[in-house]
Amino acid sequence: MENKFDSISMNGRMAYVIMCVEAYLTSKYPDKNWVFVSTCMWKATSTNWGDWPDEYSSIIPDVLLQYKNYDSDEFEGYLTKEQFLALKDLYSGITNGLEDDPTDEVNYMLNKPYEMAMVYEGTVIGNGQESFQIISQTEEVLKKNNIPLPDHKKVSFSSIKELNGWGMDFDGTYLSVILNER
Amino acid sequence: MSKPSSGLFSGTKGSKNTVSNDSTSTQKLSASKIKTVSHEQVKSWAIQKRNELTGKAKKNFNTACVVYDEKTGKFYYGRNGGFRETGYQRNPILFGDSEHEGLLPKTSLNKYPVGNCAEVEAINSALNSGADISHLHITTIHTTKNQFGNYKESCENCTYAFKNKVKANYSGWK
Repeated sequence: MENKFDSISMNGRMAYVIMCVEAYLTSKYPDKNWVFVSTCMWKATSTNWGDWPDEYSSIIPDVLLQYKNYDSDEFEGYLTKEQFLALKDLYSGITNGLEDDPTDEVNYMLNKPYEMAMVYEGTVIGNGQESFQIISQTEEVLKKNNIPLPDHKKVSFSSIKELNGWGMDFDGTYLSVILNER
Repeated sequence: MSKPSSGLFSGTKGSKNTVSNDSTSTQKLSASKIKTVSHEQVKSWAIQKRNELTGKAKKNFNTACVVYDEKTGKFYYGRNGGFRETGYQRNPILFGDSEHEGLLPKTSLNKYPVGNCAEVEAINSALNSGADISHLHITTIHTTKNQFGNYKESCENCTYAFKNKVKANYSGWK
């Protein structure tokens, strides 16, 4: 069955998922400052996916909220104590950091870019069905909340023909609705 | 480390397990037996590793590999991102040195850094112990909740480096 992302690389699919997450965050919680989270997410399109998940998982609620206090062994090099406390404040009242719980939408959505980077780590993309499923799950949350889907054509420049389907690195920050609002 | 269900082997805890039976018998094992035992070994190792890991490291653990050296009967293990661990010694056969190119590609053929794979950590460990790459059998599995134990086909970088170099890959090439 054809999918609108068939011709788009994994890196392009990643960019689309991040656009969906941004749409969710800015629609549901427009008064919160998502700049730091967005900056971390967008590093994905220009960084290798061995290093990026290590950094990004530091800010995912189901990891960060496991820690009552700043743990330098876990976060040093990725998060300062001030950033750690700011994220705890940001997430306060909107997520409990419950892993694998779709009703905890903030945690669920912030996990989607991470899942996209991990789904084919150490293997090949194949027909890409697992990545389409991640996209579909992300879109479902937007639809449920009556939030318009981003335009997937904005990432179609990143072709499945690039780098064995992975796509070349690119700076995707120009696609960000959060970083370009400043 | 729990014993594999076959009962053929008993192991010692640590990054490698040694067959305690006489090595002659291990050399007579069929490929299908090696595949079965390796699969059990790597699943047991992954369960133990998952229990040891915490926080981000636990979340990021999605692949485990076991390498079986048919010459010595030893097992060597690796996980995704294992090459970042402190004290990891990069074997020049894989990573090259000032005079020789290594087996791994110079630049990555996918979105992950060269050396990131579980296979690389396991094979690196075997080579650092003096193994000959042509004697190695590799088995790689998913370690995520949804797919735990399922075989995981090698990525572009590992296929480039190890296909036609190792004796067998029970998880398949790209």
